[in-house]
Amino acid sequence: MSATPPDVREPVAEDGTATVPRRPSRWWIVAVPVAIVTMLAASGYRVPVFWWESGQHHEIADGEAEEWVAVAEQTSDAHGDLTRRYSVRLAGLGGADPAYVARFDEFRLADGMVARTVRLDFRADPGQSLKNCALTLVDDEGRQYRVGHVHDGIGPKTRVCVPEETPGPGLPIIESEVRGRLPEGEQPRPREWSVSPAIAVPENATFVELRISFEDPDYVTLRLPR
Amino acid sequence: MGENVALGRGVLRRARTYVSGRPTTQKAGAGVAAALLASAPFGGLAAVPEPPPGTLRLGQPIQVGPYEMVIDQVVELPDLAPAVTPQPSERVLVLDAHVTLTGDRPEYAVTLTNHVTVAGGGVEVEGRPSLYFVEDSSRMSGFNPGLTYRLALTFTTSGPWQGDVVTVRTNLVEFREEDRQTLDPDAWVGRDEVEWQGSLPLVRRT
Amino acid sequence: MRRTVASAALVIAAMGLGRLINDHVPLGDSADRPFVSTGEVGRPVVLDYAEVTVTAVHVTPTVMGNPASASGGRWLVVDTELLARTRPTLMSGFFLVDAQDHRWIASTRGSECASSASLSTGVRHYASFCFDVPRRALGGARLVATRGAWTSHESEFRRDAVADVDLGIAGSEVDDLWAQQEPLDVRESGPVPPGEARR
Repeated sequence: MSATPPDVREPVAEDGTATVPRRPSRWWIVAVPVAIVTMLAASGYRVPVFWWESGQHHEIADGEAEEWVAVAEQTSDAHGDLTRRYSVRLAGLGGADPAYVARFDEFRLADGMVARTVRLDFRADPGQSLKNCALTLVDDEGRQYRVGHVHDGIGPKTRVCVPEETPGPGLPIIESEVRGRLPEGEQPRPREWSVSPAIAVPENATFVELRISFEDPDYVTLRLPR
Repeated sequence: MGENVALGRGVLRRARTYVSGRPTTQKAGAGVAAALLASAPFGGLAAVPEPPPGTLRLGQPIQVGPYEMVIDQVVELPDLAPAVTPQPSERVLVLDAHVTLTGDRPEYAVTLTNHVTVAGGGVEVEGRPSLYFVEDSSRMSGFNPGLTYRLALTFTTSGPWQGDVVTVRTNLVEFREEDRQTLDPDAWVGRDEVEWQGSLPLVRRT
Repeated sequence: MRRTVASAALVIAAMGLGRLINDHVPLGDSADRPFVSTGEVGRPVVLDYAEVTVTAVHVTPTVMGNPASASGGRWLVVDTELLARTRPTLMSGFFLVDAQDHRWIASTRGSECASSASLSTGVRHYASFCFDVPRRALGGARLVATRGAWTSHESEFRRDAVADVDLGIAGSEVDDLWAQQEPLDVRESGPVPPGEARR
């Protein structure tokens, strides 16, 4: 073993003048964090797709029961971006009914479950699309009871938050449809209305909030009195 | 003229020096390359010709990926209610077939319907075919292996078929342990290559 | 020069180590394998998102409906009760596994035969799954129930909870079950218990 390793020794040119010492490459020290960030970004698409857009994660408005809450929700249709505007007030929860009665579902509940109505008042322009809303009651244990979502087993699917006979327009899904246009023969929705859809819940549950959601991840929270 | 000869000799000499200075492995490689180039006029560089598609006949078992299919007849109908009801101007072309899934795992029907096409007749064929049970006209969406079903592979055509024969083609469907396109392991992947082709007689029913 | 040889040796050793880890450490198990809870007919299997109970198992050549559907082999019909525990849940994965560890998927052919189940929290859901299978699938068959649908690479229920219920078919019973001719009336899936009409 010589005293000095060959590649850290000051190289000396033939004419005796010293040249710049040769050093091991250090560029990878910069490259490593760049590589890690690139890797995380490349696999990060899973976060929006499988988590953010597949559940209720973004509270866009909130308020107490019996107070009006104004909501402006960013959404889009076949023609581009738009804002869904409405005001909502939670008037309260109805009593307990052992039978679940909805448009296509009528049956007796079991296992200590009852049907409770959610009384909601709405105000909105008749041109706003308010079909396809889901209502979720959350209890003090964090359990969620929902009606109106496309994957819900029981209850109405599209007309939870709007009047049965005058639900108003839907969002255009193809470009030939016109925003805000009603089907032939349908009357426009009133500017103010009330709904009271039923949700199947345990009789002894204590509810802390009601969530209103049209599209994940956005939702509106209306807190119930404790 | 003489100058040119001298120049040529000079180039040759330099080339010879260069070649003799190369290691043996490089010389061998160059030899192989030269032999390959020399074979080019006789087809040495041409791609291996793809085998022509097998001839498809009625009643003959053919393999489409994991499926064994026997086409019993080809029928044209104005509609196949309740399964298929096209516009009055359109027609339904049905491959009446017996299909068995081979292998030991289930498959979805698209692995079959994506790879069977019909042509000829001077009409347009709309999209991919659908698959129904002949017995009860319910839709067939997934197969379990080892069972044979009589199924109707239905194509909707833009109008009445011209002529008495239908050209039926099936594509080559390969099993890949690792598919580079989908990154799925053990997948059946269709190739853009006709494996079976035949002109089958058409039966018209009203 | 010695340094070059050392770093080359290091790179080769690292690659060899990677290969060894890849070949001999069961990484796939920890990355893909679902969490399996086993059970038997009549007892609920408790998963973190749902309770799965197989209530009855039938074997028949014909499922009644409009029209009645004859099987290619035999219909193995599995009646279930499903209950979401804490939030609304969509269960799309219901398939059979036989004694040889082969998979069999449910048919959507009988109009009342279910292929998935939308569960409202706390509301019991009754669903029957119909499997058209050959004789070899019957003995020792198990129902696997989970949220993700079955696909050939079984990626839709990785690291998810899965119920694996033994349907209690002994190999010696297969011949008798196969010989049964009684057609079966499959009931529509939903929140109404079988035997009770909708109000």
